[in-house]
Amino acid sequence: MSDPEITPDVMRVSWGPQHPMSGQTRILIDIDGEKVHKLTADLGFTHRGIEKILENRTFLQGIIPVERMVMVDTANVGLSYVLAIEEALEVETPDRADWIRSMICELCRINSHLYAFGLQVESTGYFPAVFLWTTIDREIILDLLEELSGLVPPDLDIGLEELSIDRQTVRMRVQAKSFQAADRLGLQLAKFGPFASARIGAIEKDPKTGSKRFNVTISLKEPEAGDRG
Amino acid sequence: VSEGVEETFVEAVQAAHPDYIESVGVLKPKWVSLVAKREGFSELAFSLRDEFGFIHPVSAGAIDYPKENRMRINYYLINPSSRFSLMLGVDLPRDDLTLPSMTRVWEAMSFHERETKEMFGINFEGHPNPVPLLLPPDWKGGYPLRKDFEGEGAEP
Repeated sequence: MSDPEITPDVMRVSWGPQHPMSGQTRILIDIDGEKVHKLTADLGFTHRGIEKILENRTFLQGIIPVERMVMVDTANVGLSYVLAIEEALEVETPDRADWIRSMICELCRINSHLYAFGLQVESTGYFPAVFLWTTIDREIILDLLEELSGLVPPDLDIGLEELSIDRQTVRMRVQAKSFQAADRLGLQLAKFGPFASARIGAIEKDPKTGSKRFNVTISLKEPEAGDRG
Repeated sequence: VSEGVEETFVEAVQAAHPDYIESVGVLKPKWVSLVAKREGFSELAFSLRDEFGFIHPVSAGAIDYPKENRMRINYYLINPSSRFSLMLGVDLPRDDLTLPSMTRVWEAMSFHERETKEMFGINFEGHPNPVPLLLPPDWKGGYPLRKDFEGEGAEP
């Protein structure tokens, strides 16, 4: 910041910082009574270094950090990044992909606008309920986007309830949606080299939710003599 | 829009400033890239603003080419009446990174030049307020967006 020309009459007031989450933007105001002499903008430390992060990533990996730029409207930011790469690589997208992209982007746009309207009205301090109304409407869109991106195949839907580790044994209590998940987990664990054995105990069915519960016991290999030193 | 408006513009710019221009190319419809020479860069910028109507500054930034020992500084401009976009670039050798500040031409380039200065270490002569924009005031870690930047906390 440049030093203000502070005279006995001119006072420097810090307006802000605003928004404690995404960088502290503030404006320094030099005032003399109600007369404003000068405004100095201080953007805060909002730089995330995305350019540098992307230097060490593949193009595909780069989509994730780029989308972090906007909290509620990730698709449109990601799309502009993807379009730039496609143009550089001279890749042409099929019409179907363009249509799907347009729909996702429109959903994200409506989502972001609802959020903005809600916050704006709420910020007046008179109608906080409007933010709740728009949040309810956003929920529809979030459900749609979740259906699109967050769908987990049933044989991968596994939750961990308990975990205990002895010296050479790992015991887990696992909850899964289906029997296939238990089979698949056992199969994958058996393939993994460092485990001497991986056993799956009796599978119980939860009568209320229909989910499956079972114990997994994994014994680690004894380290060989050469590994100890 | 008739065909060939870009070519007409390119010819007009080249005819007006044959000495200041390194190369001109059409990137896309209504999107022209112009690489200027370092000498006479201010005159070219004033002419682009006053005679060619590029009165709207969009952004500015730099690209580091350490193997070729140069840095390219890009100014992005728009002519609002003809909707032309211009990428005005200039190459500087990495050991002499000095350029007259374009804040005299487009005042709104101030923030962009401050950012380019702190991120790449380019010295914009005549900038009214050359203090860091985004980095902390006591930052001594070098220039983060250069390709040879080692990481946080590295000595310059």
